[in-house]
Amino acid sequence: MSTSHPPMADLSPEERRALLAQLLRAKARASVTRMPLSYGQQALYFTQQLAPESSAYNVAFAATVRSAVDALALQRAFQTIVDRHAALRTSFELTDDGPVQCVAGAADLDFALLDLAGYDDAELARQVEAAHAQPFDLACAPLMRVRLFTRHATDHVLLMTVHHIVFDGWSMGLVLDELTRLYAAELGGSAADLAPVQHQYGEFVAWQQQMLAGSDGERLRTYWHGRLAGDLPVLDLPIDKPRPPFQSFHGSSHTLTFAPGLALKLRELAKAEHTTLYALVLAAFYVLLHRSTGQEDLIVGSPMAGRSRPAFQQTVGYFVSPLPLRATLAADDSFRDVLGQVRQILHEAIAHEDYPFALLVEQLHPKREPGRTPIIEVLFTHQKAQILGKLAEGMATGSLRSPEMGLQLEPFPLSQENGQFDLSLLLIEAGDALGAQLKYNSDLFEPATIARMAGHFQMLLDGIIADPGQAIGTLPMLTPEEQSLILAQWNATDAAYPADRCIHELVAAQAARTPEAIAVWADAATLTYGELERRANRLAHHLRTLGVGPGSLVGVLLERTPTMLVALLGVLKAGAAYVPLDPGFPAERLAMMLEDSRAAVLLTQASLVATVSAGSAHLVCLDTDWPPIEALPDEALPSLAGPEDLAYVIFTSGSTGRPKGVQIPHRAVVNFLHSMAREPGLAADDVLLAVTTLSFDIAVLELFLPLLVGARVALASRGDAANGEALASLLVETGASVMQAAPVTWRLLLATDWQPIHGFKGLCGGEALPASLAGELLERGVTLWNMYGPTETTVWSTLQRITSAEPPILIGRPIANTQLYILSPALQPLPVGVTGELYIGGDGLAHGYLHQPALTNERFINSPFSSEPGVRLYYTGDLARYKADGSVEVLGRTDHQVKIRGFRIELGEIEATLVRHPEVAEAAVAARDDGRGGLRLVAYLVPTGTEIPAAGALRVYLRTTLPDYMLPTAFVPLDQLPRTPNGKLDRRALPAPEPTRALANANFQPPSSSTEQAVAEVWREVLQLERVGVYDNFFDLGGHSLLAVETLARLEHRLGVKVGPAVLRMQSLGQIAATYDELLRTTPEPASDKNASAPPPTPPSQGLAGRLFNAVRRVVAPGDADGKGERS
Amino acid sequence: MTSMPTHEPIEPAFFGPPSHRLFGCYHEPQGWPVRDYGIVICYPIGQEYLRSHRACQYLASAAARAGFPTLRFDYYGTGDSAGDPDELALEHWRNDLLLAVEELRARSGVGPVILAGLRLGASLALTAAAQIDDLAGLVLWEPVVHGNAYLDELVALHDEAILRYFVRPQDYTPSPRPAELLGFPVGAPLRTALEKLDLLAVPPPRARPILLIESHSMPEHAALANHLGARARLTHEHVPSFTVWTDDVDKGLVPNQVIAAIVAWLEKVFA
Repeated sequence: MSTSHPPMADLSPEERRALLAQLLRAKARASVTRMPLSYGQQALYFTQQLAPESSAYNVAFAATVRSAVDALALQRAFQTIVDRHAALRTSFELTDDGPVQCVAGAADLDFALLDLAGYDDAELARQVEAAHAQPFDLACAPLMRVRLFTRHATDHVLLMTVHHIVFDGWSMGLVLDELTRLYAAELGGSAADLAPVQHQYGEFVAWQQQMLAGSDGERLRTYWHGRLAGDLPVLDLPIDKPRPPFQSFHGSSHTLTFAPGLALKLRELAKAEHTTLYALVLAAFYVLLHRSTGQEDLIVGSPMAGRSRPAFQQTVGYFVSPLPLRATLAADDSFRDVLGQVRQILHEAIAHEDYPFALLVEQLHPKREPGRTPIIEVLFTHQKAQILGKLAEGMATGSLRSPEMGLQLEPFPLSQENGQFDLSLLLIEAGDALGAQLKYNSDLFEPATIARMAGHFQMLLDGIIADPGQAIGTLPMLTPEEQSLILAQWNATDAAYPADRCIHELVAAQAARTPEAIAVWADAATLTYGELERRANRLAHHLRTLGVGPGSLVGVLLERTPTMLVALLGVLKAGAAYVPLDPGFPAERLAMMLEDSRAAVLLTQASLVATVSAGSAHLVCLDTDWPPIEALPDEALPSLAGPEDLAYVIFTSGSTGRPKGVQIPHRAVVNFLHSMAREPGLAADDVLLAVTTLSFDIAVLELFLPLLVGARVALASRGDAANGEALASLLVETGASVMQAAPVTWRLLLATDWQPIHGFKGLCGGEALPASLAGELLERGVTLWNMYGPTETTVWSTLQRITSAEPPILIGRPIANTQLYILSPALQPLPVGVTGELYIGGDGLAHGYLHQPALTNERFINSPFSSEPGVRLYYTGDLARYKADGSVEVLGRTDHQVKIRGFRIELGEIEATLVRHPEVAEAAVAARDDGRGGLRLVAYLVPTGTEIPAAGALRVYLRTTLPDYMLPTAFVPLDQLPRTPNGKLDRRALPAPEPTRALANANFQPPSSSTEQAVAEVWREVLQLERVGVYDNFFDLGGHSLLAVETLARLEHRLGVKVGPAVLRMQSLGQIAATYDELLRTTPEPASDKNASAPPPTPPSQGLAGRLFNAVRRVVAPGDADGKGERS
Repeated sequence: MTSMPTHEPIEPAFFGPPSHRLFGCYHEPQGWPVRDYGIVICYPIGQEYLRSHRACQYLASAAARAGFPTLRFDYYGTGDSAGDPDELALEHWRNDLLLAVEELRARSGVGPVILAGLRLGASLALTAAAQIDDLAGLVLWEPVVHGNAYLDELVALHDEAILRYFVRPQDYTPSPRPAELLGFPVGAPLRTALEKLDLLAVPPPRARPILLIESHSMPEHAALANHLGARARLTHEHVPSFTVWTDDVDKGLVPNQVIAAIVAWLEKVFA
């Protein structure tokens, strides 16, 4: 306050009035009323304090003014607004009891004029944005700024920025309305006839506290806690980028353009359904979310004005509160059902709207996921322009000449894009016009994805209008362009191939071209193309004489030698299909497979005859029975088989306990091989090292692809294929230029010094390729391909050249004449980025499962995308999604099938087998990470008696029917299996196994508790070591039994309790300390007269035996004359 | 829900055909993750077997704690296995080893197997290696390299023992090839087989890792190391310690340092 002023008497009346006003103002400014915050304000206050530089909560009004502006009038008008509304004179202060708000009696408006003459549009925009984005210091009132940027007399930008903690959308409407009238009044020199403000924000705060404390508050609380009971859903929108661990409020928006007439049709529909446009569009938004995520339990936040009490409808302040609207949608609900549900939810929510959301969050205490907003992640806002006043209405629809203000205004596009929520739909109604905006967190989404989502929303609205009774799962969502792209363009894989030929005919053709070239190499023998052909022909003749022909199945049980290839080709040439039987499988499983296949003939060798009972199959030993076959003609038989006849039947794991046979015709294999020859590509000068067992269908690529192009197959034996050093040396020895294997085998190879030759192609498949392994292979110099495909669609159906180890590692695109479909459970094609079920179509499809028509029909469905009869799709059971460029990413399974070391396993098959053991009551099997990038099987067993059977014995039992790769590596006994509330097995609650010493040792952990330290100290003394850790084992550190006795004695002396020596053998230091702690807890008091621990046993006296042995020692160990050895 | 083990989980295992029942002890790995390799421990024979039994048990235990499923077993005619002592033959024992490998695979589900032999057990392991499908590696703990020399040693010890500690019959003449050595029967077949045993003539398995570990440097070990190193990935370790089967045996000693070295090598090579 200025103290220097002339005496009052010297002042004119006006000057006196002005001075008085000034003094009054100063007094008012100094007078501050303190009051608590509303719940919404508290939440905002803390959020802002955590990110003080953030402008996420700056609310703005920005307009380009294309007329002359009276800046002083404007300033006075705004000052009046500040004077009228306590909220705009409020600042916030943190006291010992929490934050309080301080309303000053008066506050000076922060108003500035900025001369930007000569600035271009871009620079102007930057200035305006920067001014808007300036953060507020909540401790300084007013939390409002006005800026007028002037380029010339009729070109200005007016910017008003207010902090949300004292302001909301409704307040904006009130303020803009007042501004209009005040400015006009100032211009005209008259006083605006604004009614005085009856209720200020402070009253609302008081009212809120009272209400919550009373019965109303209780009623509201009960309602909301009921609606939000149980696990709250977490929305998994198809985001493009990984979610950052904290919110950064980077946002952007996409404006939807609605077709003319859409607004009218929507209003008509709303009317026909007896509801509001708001509810209708909100229901459509739920459908969009459901279809984009597949989720059924959805929460959408809808901000309510929060001014249910008429008293506060003229009050400026922060009233708005989002209501969490929770709905349940199912794919076969009709839209009308959803609409009905939404109406009900809205109706109830509005009746309970006064409960502050911030308080709800506090009470419900939801698990905070990093980077996610609690409870509400998606917002639906309906901006009705009436609320905002005519000025705002004009802003929504475009240019407005405000006659009252005499100003020509246009909305200034300010990116108020604060990205608070993952996604927000803003529906703007202004008069008859309808507009919408999708606001989004730009840390999560690319603009293209949101643009696509906008397209989906419009398609849905069109579909809803056309038929509101339609099931929401089948409403068309993809735009026609998307459909064409996803269904047609990305599946345009038509390619010519010899579709009328069989595999053996193509091999024969190649053999005719290069009969002297080596076809197969193995450690003990090689075969040229010519020889291979001749022998296979002879075998085919023989098989024919046994009645083998098209429709027959022939079992092949052979070791990995060139004879194996002779056998396969021989079978094919006879017109039959081969059934691979792995010599490593248990006899019972092989017998089951033979029986199921009803094989007429079994081709085997003398050393394997005993491994299986052939049943009714006629046995041919290709070694001992060969001589008569050698005498048969070696020309090719006329081919009886056609492309639709089967080439092979391969058995895969069955979920109910019995393996199932997949029937693959020639046509599928020829298409596959032809595609592979092109990409990844194989040529006559290639050598492929074949390492995969015949019973895994990928062996088809390894054995037949080279034969198709005149290349060479180098056969690795079973033993070598499992040994990294052997593989490395074979690769060098054979000059191999291609190898295909599952990740486990690649890892074995990478553990050696192997260096691939230039241009070496590595195909990886059978299970997901980990990014780390991809990196290592690329670093080693391998040209790397990731391959994907179920047995049912013939070896591989997609491939991806991998050039970077950046995750995600994709499976890529379909091979020739193959189509991919990513579908919702209702078989609707899904857009890019949305996860769905992967189906495969095309020439690679198997006929089905041997003798299992019902299962075949279940998995091979009629294609909804083809009008031709008989066109099918195979349901893979894999979850996948498209990337923007059409390549595919696999994300997991819909069932309990896992891949271990590339083998496909149904957990149910193992569980069913375990439970058949008389001492096992219940069983669950899980695949667990082994910490080295692979998965292992762990079985959890509940015994019928007190103990589960011993592990080794259990495996012996399982092996009678299961192959080795399905044997669990660990068995964990449980008192009971964990179950979900509805009684189903809760697999996620199965405990993790204890780590081995080696794993634990990787991180040395010093002793911490006093018991651990005591134990460690004794160990250090006794073992004479400097350092002993929590995971160490006494004997592994060099202790032995005598030292153990001494150690335990010392510990008993120190701690007062005794443990048995076995504990020292079995447990780590940490576990031993825990054992002592447990005993100390349960032992009443340490014995005061502890018996002195027995001294260590003295060495037995030197009797006859001693003298004998000592003599022996002296003779045998001349250098150890003193006989000084350590004692154990 | 699960509990820490308080006793060694050793499973007794009888295996082999009914006419040729063998006894072994299977050690299931403790903890996670379990390794992809199993170990079969091949005992020595005779006195060495008796004196080193505990050490072999400790070795099996330590290996199982490190995540390796492990089996140790008695040869036909020894320990708890069937057969009479006069049926002892090296050929049998080689077959027994093959059966033991199968038993380990059946109990553990592993494919690749490491043979860890002590003394003659190590010699056996090396000579049988070529017949083992999917052999991953070998541990040769003080192997008997020259069977002839070994026989001579045993004979000398035997004579010494007789001369020092027992009343000699008057007409006693030491035999160059007694039918019993230190209380352990050695029939003609065994004797002949031992005479012919020469590890330097056994082709080493290609490219497999081998640990040759000793507590006393012997020239034959060095020679063996050279021989094996030509084709296999050989590690030759010297861990000073007493030799349990000869020193202070009445105290039940276990050369923990050697066992620790063996397990450390296994952990490193078969990660």
